[in-house]
Amino acid sequence: MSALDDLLQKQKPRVQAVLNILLEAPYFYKSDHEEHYHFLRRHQREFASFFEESFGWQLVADPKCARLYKETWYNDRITPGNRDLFNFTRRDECLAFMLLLEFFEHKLEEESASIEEPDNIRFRFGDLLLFTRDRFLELFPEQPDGYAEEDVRKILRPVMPQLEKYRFLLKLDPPDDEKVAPDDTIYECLPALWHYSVQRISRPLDETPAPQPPAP
Amino acid sequence: MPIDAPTESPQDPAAQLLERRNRNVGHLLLSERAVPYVTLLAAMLAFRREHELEPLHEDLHAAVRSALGGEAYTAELFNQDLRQLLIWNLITDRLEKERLRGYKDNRRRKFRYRLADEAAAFLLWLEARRHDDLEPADTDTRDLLSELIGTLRETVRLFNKTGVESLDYETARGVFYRLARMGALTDDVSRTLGDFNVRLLGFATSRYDAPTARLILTELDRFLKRFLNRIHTLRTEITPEISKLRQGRLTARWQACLALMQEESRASAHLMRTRLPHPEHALAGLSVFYAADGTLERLCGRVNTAALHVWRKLFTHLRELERRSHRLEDLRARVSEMAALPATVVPAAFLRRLLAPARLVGDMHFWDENEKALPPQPHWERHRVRAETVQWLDAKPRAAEAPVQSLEEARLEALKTWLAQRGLLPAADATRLVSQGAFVAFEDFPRLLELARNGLLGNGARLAKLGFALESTAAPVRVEADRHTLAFLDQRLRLRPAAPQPPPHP
Repeated sequence: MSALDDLLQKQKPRVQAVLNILLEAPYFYKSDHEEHYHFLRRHQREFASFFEESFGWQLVADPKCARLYKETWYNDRITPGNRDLFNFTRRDECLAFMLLLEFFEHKLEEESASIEEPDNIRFRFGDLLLFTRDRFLELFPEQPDGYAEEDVRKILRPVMPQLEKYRFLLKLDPPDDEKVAPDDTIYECLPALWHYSVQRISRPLDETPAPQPPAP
Repeated sequence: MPIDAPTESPQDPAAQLLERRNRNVGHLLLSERAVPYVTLLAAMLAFRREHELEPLHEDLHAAVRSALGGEAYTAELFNQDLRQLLIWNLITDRLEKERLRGYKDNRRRKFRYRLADEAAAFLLWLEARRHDDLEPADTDTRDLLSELIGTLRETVRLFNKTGVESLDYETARGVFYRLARMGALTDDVSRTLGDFNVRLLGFATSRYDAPTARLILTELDRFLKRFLNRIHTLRTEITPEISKLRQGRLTARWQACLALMQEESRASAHLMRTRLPHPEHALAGLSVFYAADGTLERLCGRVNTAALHVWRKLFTHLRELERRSHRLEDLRARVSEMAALPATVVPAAFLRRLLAPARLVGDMHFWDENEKALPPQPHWERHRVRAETVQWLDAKPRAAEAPVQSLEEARLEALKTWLAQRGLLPAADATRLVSQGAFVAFEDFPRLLELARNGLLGNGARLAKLGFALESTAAPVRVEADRHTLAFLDQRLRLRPAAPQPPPHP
């Protein structure tokens, strides 16, 4: 009898709830359901071995977020497009996402923040806009007119809602009695921003992945 | 509206501190040219230390020139800086007349400068702060506690070798000095541990590079093992010594010492201004401070918690620093590679593996084989200019030469053709009953209905376009065709007289 079976017999509703939450969305935040999250952390080993043995997935959990990494897809009928988290249609949108990750890493360094801290990092949209614009100008020095502030704003405009939709960012609404300019809108970096693959980011973009093991 | 500065009253202690102070010294810290100003003043202070109170203009320039960029620090700049310091009253100047030595040597006037006391004091304060920065002289709590143990043992020994009857003023003075010293040392212990705690917490909120963080981690590790253990050991030595001094057998000695000191103090009330601590209260206070769960233990507990907090924070920070430096480098490299792709290319495979979700992100709308999902909402960009929609109509197909005919006209022509085929067309002055037609197929019945609709509805306006009129009769009839029967009241079809033409206009 596996450790999770044992746990399932003793606390079936909780185990089922945690398994469901993990499979319902790419990220399970502590703030989603604190009690279930603590349960998962307390029995992380049992859950991890269950996913590893049953699915070949890796369960990763830190103080704020848990998620499952899936290396191999077995159903060929699910196209790569179906698996994509984002619906980016142009290179510059992908770049904007990558630059958000870079901006996030800079903020972590500036504020000496770590995942252990209870508060998430927050930033003004205007700061991200300036950072992204500067980086675009650095990347495309021959096109200074193509990446003016307004151009970069147009690039970010469709990206931000997607990042909110998939819970990478959370837009904080200003108080009712306060009018805030769009550039002063505050976003909170949700824990998903920590959870990109550091193995993948360390390898060249065009590197072909290792061949997948044949489906059983 | 500007906020009014608080009124300075001469009785206010803060105002008294500021009284007669030259507040222009503040400009030295805030000014953009703070470095040249302070260099200049420091050079004057150096002259002063060599007993040259009023250096000459040229000598001063020579003294500061090398420190301020050599030739780049021109005489004009030097004069400018001097002028500013003169305006702020941080230096004073004096003209010195020299004797005439020759024809070429006209009576020259030379300036001498003197450093104001306010500026000199400020420079000394700056030097002291710098010295503290470079060589901080914190007291080690362990030394203080060791000294306290020595003082306690010394006092016990003094009491043990001196009986009540042989106590004199000198011995009593020594005992009370030691008692006061114990209080002062305890205060110092409390202060140093408090300062230490604050400094530790300061470590937790600062930023470090990886080597510094690693160094502090090593220091903390050593500190946690040694510092607190030693304090604990010393405390356990202090407690019994205090208990010894509080023994009942020594009460008489304490009382005798106190009486002697009070008598002496009364005797020279105007000359000696000493404060005599009450031995019992002082020892009770010490006992509480050094007890097993006393103030010292609590202070050490705070320091320990702060140290652990710093250790944890720095450990995480160090781990993050090492990880992040690689992550940032990797991120920048991938961003550069991505920028080299064509503008329309999306590196979807890379992003997919970067995020690797363990679930299908598919169509989130409900649909099945019968019900279609709602289409996605069209994207609407706020700043897009919405132009008016123009719908271009295709050109109507036209026959080559035939005149244009409407659909209704075509239908009426078809009806006329059918009437002719079924023998229903009336002669010029005669009528035809509809029931007299030769019907052959079921399709004739809809034609009959069409004839009735065109001839009866709307006063028969449509049928009138063919030149016919239709009127109902009271005779019920039945017509048959293709094994089907239609029953209706018979109708009479006749030619419609032509409408009178309007008279031509004059």
